[in-house]
Amino acid sequence: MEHQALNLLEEAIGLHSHHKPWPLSGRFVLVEDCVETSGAFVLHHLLKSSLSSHPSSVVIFLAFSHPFPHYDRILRKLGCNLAAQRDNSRFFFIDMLMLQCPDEGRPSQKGLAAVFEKIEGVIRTLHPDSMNSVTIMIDDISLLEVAANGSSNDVLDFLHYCLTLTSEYGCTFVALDHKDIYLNGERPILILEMEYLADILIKAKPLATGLAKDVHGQLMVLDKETQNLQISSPIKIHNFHFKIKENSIEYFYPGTKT
Amino acid sequence: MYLAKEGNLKEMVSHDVDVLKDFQSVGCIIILNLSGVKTIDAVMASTKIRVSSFSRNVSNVTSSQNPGLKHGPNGTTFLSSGIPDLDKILGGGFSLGSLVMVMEDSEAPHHMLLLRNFMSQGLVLKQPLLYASPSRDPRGFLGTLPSPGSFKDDKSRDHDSNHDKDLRIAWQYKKYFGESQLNINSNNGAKQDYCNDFDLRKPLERQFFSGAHIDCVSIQDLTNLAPLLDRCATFLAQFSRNESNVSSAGRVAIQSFCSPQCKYSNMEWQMLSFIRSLKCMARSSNAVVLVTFSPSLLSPSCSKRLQHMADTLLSVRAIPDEDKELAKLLTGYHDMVGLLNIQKVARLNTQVPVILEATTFSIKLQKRSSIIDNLENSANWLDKSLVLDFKLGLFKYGHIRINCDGIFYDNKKRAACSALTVEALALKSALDMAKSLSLFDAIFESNCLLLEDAVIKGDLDFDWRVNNILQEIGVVLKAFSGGSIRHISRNLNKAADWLAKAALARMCPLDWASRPPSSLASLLDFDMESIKSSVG
Repeated sequence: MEHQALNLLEEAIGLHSHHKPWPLSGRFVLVEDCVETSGAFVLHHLLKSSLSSHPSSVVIFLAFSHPFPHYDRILRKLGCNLAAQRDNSRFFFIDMLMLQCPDEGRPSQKGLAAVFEKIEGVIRTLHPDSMNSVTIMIDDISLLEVAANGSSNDVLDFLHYCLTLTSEYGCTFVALDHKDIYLNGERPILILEMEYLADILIKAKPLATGLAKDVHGQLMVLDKETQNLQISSPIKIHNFHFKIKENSIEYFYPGTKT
Repeated sequence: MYLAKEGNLKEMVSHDVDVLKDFQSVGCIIILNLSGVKTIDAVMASTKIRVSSFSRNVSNVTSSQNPGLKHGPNGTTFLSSGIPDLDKILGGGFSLGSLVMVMEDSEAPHHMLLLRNFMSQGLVLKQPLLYASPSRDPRGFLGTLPSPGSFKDDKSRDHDSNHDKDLRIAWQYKKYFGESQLNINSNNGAKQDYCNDFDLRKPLERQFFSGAHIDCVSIQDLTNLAPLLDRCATFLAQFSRNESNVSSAGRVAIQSFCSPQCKYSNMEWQMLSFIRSLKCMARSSNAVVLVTFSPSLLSPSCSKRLQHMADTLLSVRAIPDEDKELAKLLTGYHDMVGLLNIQKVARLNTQVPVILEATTFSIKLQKRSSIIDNLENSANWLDKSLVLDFKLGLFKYGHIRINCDGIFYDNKKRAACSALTVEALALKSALDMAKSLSLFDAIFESNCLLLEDAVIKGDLDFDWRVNNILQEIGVVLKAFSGGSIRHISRNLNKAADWLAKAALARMCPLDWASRPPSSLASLLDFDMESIKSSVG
């Protein structure tokens, strides 16, 4: 990927470093949004860039909120054909729309455990070349909670299991969650734990001044730099605005939009 | 008279057709857009211009196959909400496969207006309907559905502003209104069939209840939601999506989903799970699901989760009866019955958010009069919000007026033994604030004549309760070179009052200084005259 072609988001999450074929491998990216500003576009962006990063990279997508045609249409406009990638076994779409874990009477782990086995099974069957550049995406965790009948522990267990894959196979783990659900102090364990575990936090917020035509919201990217353990560099925070278009997303610093 | 009628509107929720007849003298319900013009342009643009080369070319041929449906961008299909102007705001209507949620106001039944029109429109178009409600006899509610207005009237109304019976949203300027209407008509000849105007005074005629395609469910006695989900699943299965052809569309309306009469209402996770499943089923079928719920009955996190699940999120709010302050702010306040907020517009198959020019609209009850004339005076400010902490009015003359009446001091909650003490304390805190902001040529306004006299004269034996405060004021006042204290009668203070009230209601336009709304402009003019005469 050419250095000039990187936009602010890609720079902020460290895609410019050339240490590895895919700089995000082994990291956990958490995207947080709210009712006013959806952060789904960050997932689309990361989905596209991880598929195009390496000719043998693989994405496993757990969809709780939309069916396949929705993502297919969006990604096609971004210049990425998901249907073709699915046929090439580079994009694994796991439709979780109707997943409902069994009620509390029975061990409710069963539903999510099966999902995890499915993910692991997909990774195991991959060609060794692509095994190192797998991205697991979840859209979104709040619906995963609903599917698990509100059992935060089961959800956390599941997410921990997914995270072990990042160290075991060097997968990238990307998840979307809605921050405003947890803001009133009710059951904040899940979001706190997730924020603690995340290597990179991306928060999408509306503009403080309200809706605008040219600026759709602001992003805060927090890179904990958890990889360079020997250098205790301060946590980097990037703030910028964005405008979402059908075929691209514009990122710019506040006030620099022309 | 209107306000009395507004009271009646609240009783409409009791499913009483007779009350509906009371509306005879009032006429119709209107939703108007207070910041109109640009929105209509935006909507027109989104229907005319293809956003990217990937979107499907929309042909009118297919839309004429089924009059109740219209093609939208990104391969979506719209059906009408039953309110022509809400359709326009939303860019065409509700998308098939979307979940529409309406947040109720616990004080007012305005969500019922949306629900009634949504259901009526479906019945008029012979679209099958599933209606679930917490009442004992949901079928009885069908008797309160409004009937479509006469079609002839419909056709001529675009060019004639003397229509008076429709449920609609009126725009700010007549000329734009006319043009856009023409545009829509030329775009789609089948518009009249797609969406009707409803006359709330007339109940829907019997011919539309052919019975076969209406399914009513009472959710009052349900102890869990599985039966309702099954019912919805069988209903939606009729419309399962077949990419090539959209032959018919269904409507599901669930009223007051979380109401406490329902026995499941304490099981939040089950309700969330139901809505999630319902959304998934809707997504794979050619139907629109409209659910109203009251956020106040749920925990905040649960209500947020529901809001996230909604594809299109609307909320309704009541306008308090006889709120004199608001009446001053809003042109045509007496005709309004509530506010409609559009919080989220469905974006199926796209990641681009729909940004509306305005998100707050008012629902109006209007007598037989020309709506649009009234609206030309109304101002473009309802949507934006700004909170002013103090009543500060800035003027071009280089003076800053600080209005310090008793309210100014309110937020500190100190016990005071008289109104005079409060006024004095307010003046003191205003002085302190001005000093800290280095506003040394400010004019302090108080509406307490006694106090001002005392301060100006330096009369320290004025009243024992305020003496020490006056002394402090005297000390602080010495720092002010160009400052003065003057009396201001209450009605000279309206502009600052207006701003403060608008800001508190989060309705103050950000550009009030450069482009004041008409109601503020007149106040400002008046103030300007008065300050000229007093400052010279």
